Amino acid sequence: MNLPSTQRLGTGSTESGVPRDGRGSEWVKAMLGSRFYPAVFQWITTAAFLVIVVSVLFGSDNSGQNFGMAGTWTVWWPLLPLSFLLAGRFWCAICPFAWLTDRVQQAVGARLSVPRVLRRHGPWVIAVLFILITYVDETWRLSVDVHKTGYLLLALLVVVIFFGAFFERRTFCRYVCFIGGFAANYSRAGMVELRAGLDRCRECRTQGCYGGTERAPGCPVFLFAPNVEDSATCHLCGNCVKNCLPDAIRISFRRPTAELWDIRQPRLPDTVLAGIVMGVVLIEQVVLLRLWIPLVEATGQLLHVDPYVWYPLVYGVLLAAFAAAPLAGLALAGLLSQVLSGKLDRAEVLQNFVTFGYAIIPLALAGHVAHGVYHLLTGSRTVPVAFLAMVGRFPSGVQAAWLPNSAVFPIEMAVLAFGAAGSLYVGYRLARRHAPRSPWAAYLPHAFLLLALLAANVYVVSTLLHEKG
Amino acid sequence: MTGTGAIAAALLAGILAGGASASDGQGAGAPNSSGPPAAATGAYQLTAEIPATIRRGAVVTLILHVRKGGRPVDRTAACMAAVPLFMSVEDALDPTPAGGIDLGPGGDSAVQPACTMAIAGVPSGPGTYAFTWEPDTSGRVNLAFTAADSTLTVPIDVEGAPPSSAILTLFVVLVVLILSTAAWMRRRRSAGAVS
Repeated sequence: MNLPSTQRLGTGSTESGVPRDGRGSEWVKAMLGSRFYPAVFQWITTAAFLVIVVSVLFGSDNSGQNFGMAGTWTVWWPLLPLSFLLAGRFWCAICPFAWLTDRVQQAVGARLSVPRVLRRHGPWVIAVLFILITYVDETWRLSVDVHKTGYLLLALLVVVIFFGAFFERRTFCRYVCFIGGFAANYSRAGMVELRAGLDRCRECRTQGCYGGTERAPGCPVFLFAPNVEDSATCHLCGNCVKNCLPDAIRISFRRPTAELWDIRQPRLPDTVLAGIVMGVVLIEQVVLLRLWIPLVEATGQLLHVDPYVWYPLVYGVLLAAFAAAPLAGLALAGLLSQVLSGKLDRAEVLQNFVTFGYAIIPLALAGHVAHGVYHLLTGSRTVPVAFLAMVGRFPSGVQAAWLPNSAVFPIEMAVLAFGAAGSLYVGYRLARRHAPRSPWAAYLPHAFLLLALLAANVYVVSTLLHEKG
Repeated sequence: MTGTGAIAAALLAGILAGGASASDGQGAGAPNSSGPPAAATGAYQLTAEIPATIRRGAVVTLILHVRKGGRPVDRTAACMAAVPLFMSVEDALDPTPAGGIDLGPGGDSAVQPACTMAIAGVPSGPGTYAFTWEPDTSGRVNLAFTAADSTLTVPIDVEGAPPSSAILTLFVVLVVLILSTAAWMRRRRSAGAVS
């Protein structure tokens, strides 16, 4: 087994308040250590995925009556961010693409090393792909067009098969999957963590968590368990639990957002992605508002083009503006923060920007969840009927909404309130670490930024529900 | 469709055979008559010539006649893109061309075999026609035409179009190519390791 040079024993971490060598959840650990895990879940999700692919390619063109469309866009997609909060990257462990990657690799895998460009720039690749998929979704109407959703799934299948066939482990999942960006950030804010007890790891001579044993393959996402200090990358696949001879792996539940409080090595891509996700969550809702029309037309005027003929260009500009706005706000807040703290130099400002970007994550997650809650509660009631309708006619009288908009609104507001509280608290904790002598001075500009982002979210959510009655 | 009377017409790319018509107050008599009856309100009498069944991706012409006091309304012409390119309430509310159906304000009474689409969702008024639709729960879409305070709603069956055979073929070819290349590379590597 060749352990990468960077994989050396970590220093141990107690960032979530859970002792590094403390006891975790035994029943979760037992589940992850079971030989049926994650296979049982993978078989279920893979079967569901197959049904969805067939449904969107050959089923009803009415997206509300197509099981694949309704299941994908009104159930799976809205629940995804919530799953990262509640269960870390558990979804990634049971994702059908992960299963497919493993099967392809077993059958024909050339198992080449991960390309250097992906290893060095993976987070940026993911960020670019995330923006690209958002752009394509709006300009090609992916999420409302049955066949286009099918073509998207086929395209993703080709990419997944490509990476599974040529590269080792789950290169696609770790370095390419466009979900990986927000999955990493949301899982940092999530309630589940997997860590290794370093005392026991020091006794280990096999390092099976990385290289694998006869019990299970090594970590599919290239992690060395003792070095795992955050929940951004671990997929909770359970391989390390099965392979760890010293029984050093611990899975614990923790307070949401706890990992963000004292990020030890803040990384620029994480912060940039947090800002981008915030902007994307906003624009995904703004396109549904009446406000969108004058916005499109004003942008067309600005660019001196017909906004509807050149809609892809106009949307691209608006998407870039929305994605950049939270980052611009963060940069400004970082500058003010350093001015108020009396430490104004470029390196400090950049460090401030990168560090406080993590405070945006809970609010971005809340905005994402709130938007998902809207789709889930107002559009998913047809899903069971659509499933049955695959072998018959869709019956009359089926409503799409579980709750009226008036009932959905307070739920969305509550989600946003929790997210805002989490962000404000994370910001405060980060300020105490970043500027221990003047935490409030460092904190206030960022608090105002977070409140401004909260106001933007409240505005789009309330306006959307108001306009849709 | 005459220069004085007709209002209408949207042409995406061709015409589906088998048209039928429905008019306000007679919506229940339309080919797809199990949907809600057309509204018979307002000062204008609306009549639509619409195929009994439309198919996604296929070309279809919809014609909307607007009359007042039994006489065709002059100086109006509506353009409608015919086939719903989207299938959700959310998208139906989207007025941008990327969303699919666009309806422009009327120009003049001249016959327009094909129109350049403008933006949908314009305020209603003589010669200006809003076009909306919403999916009902019986495998149909309800096409709603509006002129001032007059409305006409016609339910239409929407048939699913098969997926593009070219894209399916491309998918299969790519997968086979990837798998066979990877298998060849693996064999070559393992052969090299043995020798």
